[in-house]
Amino acid sequence: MKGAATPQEYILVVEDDKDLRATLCDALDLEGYVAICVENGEAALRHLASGARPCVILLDLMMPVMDGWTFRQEILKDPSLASIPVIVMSAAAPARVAAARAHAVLHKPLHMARVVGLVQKHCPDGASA
Amino acid sequence: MDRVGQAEDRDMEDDTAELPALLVNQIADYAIFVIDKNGCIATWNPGAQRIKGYSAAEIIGKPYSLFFTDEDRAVGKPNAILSQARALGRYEEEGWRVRQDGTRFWASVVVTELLNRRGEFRGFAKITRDLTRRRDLEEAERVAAAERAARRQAELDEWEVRQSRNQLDLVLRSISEGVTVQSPEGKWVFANDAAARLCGFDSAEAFIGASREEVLSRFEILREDGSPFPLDELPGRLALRGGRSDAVVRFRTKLTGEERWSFVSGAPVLCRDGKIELSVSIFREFTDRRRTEQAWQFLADASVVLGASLDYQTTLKQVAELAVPTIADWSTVDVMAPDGSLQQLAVAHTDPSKRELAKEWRRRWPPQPHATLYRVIRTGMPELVPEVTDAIIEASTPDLEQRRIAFELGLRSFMVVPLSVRKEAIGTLTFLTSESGRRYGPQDLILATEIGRRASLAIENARAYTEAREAVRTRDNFLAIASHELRTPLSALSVLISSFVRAAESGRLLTLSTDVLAERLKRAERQVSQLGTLVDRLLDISHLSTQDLRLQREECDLVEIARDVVSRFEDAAADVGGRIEFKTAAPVVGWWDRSRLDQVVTNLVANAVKYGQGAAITVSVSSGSSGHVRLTVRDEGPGIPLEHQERIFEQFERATTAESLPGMGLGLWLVRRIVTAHGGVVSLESVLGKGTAFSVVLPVSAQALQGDS
Repeated sequence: MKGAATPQEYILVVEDDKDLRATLCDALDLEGYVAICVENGEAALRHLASGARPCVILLDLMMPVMDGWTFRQEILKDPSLASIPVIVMSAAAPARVAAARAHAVLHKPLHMARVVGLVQKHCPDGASA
Repeated sequence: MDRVGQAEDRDMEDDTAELPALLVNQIADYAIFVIDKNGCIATWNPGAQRIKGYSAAEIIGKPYSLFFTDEDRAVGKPNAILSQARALGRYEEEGWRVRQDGTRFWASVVVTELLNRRGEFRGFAKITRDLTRRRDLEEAERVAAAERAARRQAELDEWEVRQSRNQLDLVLRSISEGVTVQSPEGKWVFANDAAARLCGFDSAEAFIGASREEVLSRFEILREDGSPFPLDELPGRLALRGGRSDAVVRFRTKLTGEERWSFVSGAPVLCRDGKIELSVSIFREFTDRRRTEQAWQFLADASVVLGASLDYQTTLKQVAELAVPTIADWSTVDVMAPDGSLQQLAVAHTDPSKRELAKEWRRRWPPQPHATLYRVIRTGMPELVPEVTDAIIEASTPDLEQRRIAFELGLRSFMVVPLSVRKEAIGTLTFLTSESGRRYGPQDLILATEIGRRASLAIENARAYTEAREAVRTRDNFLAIASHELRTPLSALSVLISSFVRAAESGRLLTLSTDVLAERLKRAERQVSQLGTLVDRLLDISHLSTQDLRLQREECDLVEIARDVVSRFEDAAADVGGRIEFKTAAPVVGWWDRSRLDQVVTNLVANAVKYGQGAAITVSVSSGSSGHVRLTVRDEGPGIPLEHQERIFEQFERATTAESLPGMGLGLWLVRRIVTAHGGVVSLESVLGKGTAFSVVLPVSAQALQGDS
C-alpha cells in the first residue's frame, strides 16, 4: 500500500472471495492506487459510516451477509453517500447487473487494463504518485 | 204236320200284319208316338205314358211342345226340332224334357219325318227314351271323380302347405333376426329362438309359454336416447293398429342390467276381408356393432384426452372415466410404485357407492404377486377373461368375506392391458363388466390393447417432455452456476496476470520484491488448483446426474474423515467469525467409500459455514443402535423455512433467496445421492432463528444391504 495518497483518493473494493479481493487490492496498489478492501456490503457500510469517502467503489454483487444490490440501495438512501461512483464487478446476467444502478460494469473475469481505465475517470489523481 | 203247319202259317200271317202295332203298343221302355203336321200328338203308346205320365186320352191332340222346358219353349226349340227333322229327315238329341207332373227327365230323342207311299209328308215319328237314370249314374260318376280329384288336390295342397310351413318355420328359426307374431289381443303366437333370446328366454317355447306380463317384467324397453319406450308405440303394437313402422329399441334386462340394441320393424298381416289378423315384428340386433362404434368413439375420445395433457396421472384418470359406461362397467388404472407394488390410481364406475366398494376392496385385499395384474406387468401381455365363473371367483378369493363381496360386485368379464414406457411395464389398465352382462371377446381385447398402447405413448411423451424440459433447465442452471463458480478464480488469475503484464510494460514489476512476487504467484497457483478442483466437481456432478453412483467401499473411520474436514474448515469458519466444535467418543468404523463420505461431510460443513453466518457449528459422530452410525452437523444460523426443507436436496436448489450467495446448489443433492447409495438416510431439522441440524445415518456394513449395492 502506498501511504502517500490523500484520504479522498482511495478506492473501496467490496468482494467476498478472499483470493480475488487480495489480488485486486495488490494489483491496484501496483497501479499506484490506494485500495481498501472489505468482504461484504455490511463491512463496506461500516467503513463508510466512519465518514471516509472513496473516489470510487468496486462492488461485487453476489456476497453473503449483505449482497451488492442491498448495499447499493443503502448508500443511495444516504444523500452523503449517494453520489459516490460505483463500478460493479459481476458475472451475473445483464438485467440483474442493471438492477444495481451502477455507473459502470466490469464483467468477470476482470482485466486490469479495463479496471484501471474505468477507475481513472473517477480517481484522476490516484495513480499520479 | 201240314195242318198244324198251315194253321201255324195262318196265325203267322195274321200276326205279321199286327206286329208293328203290337210292337208300338207293348214297348214300355220307349215312348213311340206320332206328331201330326201341326206339331200335335197323334198317337200314344204305353211307353210314352210311362215315361211322360200322360194317358192317351189326356194328350192326343195336344201340342208336343208340352214336353219341353219353359226355357226351351221360350227359345222356340220345339218348332226348331221339327224344322230340322223336316229338312234333314231326321233329328236326334239328348236333352231335358218335362213330365206331366212337372218333373224333368233326361231324354234321348229321335224325330223322324213320316212320308206316305206317295212321298207326301204326313207328320213325324218320335221315339223318346228316359235316360235320367243313366245320366244320374254318369253324373254321380263325374261328381265322384271330381270329388276324388278335389280330395287328391286337397291332400296335395295340405302336404304342400305343411311342407312350406315347415320350411317357413325352419327359415324363421334359423335366421339371425328375431321374429315374433302377435294376435290382435297382443298375445305372442309365434317367436323364433333369436327373438326369445333377445327377450332373455332360453328357447322360443319358453317365450311363447310365458305370459305377456312375465315377458314385459323382465326388461325395460328404452328408446335410442335412453328414455322409456311406451309399449303402445312399439312397432309390433302399431302394426296391430294397421301401421308399419321401424324403431331403434334398447332392451335392458332388469335382473342383470344387460342391454341389447335392436332395429325393430313391425308390419300388420291382413285377412282377405282387410281385417288385421296378426302383426309381425322383426328384430335385427346390432348390440355388437353398436359396441364397436362406441369402442371406436371411445378410442377417439381417449386419444384426444391423452394428447391434451402432459400430466399423465390426470390423463389416465380421465381415460378410466371415459371408458365407463361406453366399453366397461368398471375401469381401473394401476401404476407401479417405486417399491414395485401396484397402486390404484383411479377407479371409475357410474355408481359412486360401487366405486367406494371397489376402493375398499382394494384396500383390504391388495392384489397378490400371482394375481393377473402382476402377471400382465411381468409378461407385458394383455389378458382377457371372457367369463368370470363362480369357480374363478372362488379360486381367487381365499377370504370368505372377500368372496362374498366379489359375488356382490357381480363381475362377468374383464381385460387387463399393460401400460409401458420404453418397453418397461409401469402399470395396467383394467376394463371390467358386471351389470351390462357384456362379455369381452378378442375384438374387445384388441381395442383395449390399442387404448393401452396409446395411453403408454402419451405417458412416454409426457415423460420425455418433462424430462427434456427438466434436462434443459438443469443444464441451464448447471451452466450458470458453473460459469459463476469458474469466473471467480479465473478473475483472480486474470487480474494478477494482466496486472503483472501492465507492471512489466511500465517497468514497475521490478519494484516488487522476490518474496512478494513469490507470494502472489503462489496465490495464482492456488487459483489454478481451485479451478482444477472445480472442473472435477462439475464433471462429477454432471456424471452423477445421468449415471449411477459407484461406490468404492473400504474399511474407514467416519470420525477420522469428519475430523479432517473440520480441520480444513476451521480457517473459513474463523473468517466469518465462527468456530467448529467436534464432538466424538471412539472411532466409528464401517464399510464405506472414503472419498464420497469426505464429500458428504465437506458439503455439510461448508453449508454450515456459509449459511451459519458466523454462528457456532457442532459436528458429531456416534455409533447408534442396530449397526448404524449417525453424523450430525448443527449450526445456530437463521434456519431453513419449512417450505424449503425438502427442496434443498434437489439439484441446483438453495434455501436462500435469489443468487445473493455463491454456490453450486448441488451440495445437498450430492450428499443425498452418496448417503442413499450407502443405504443410509439424510434428514434435517431446522427451526427458524435457532439453527439447522443435518443428520446422516449410515449402516455400518455393506452386508446389511448387499442386495442394494
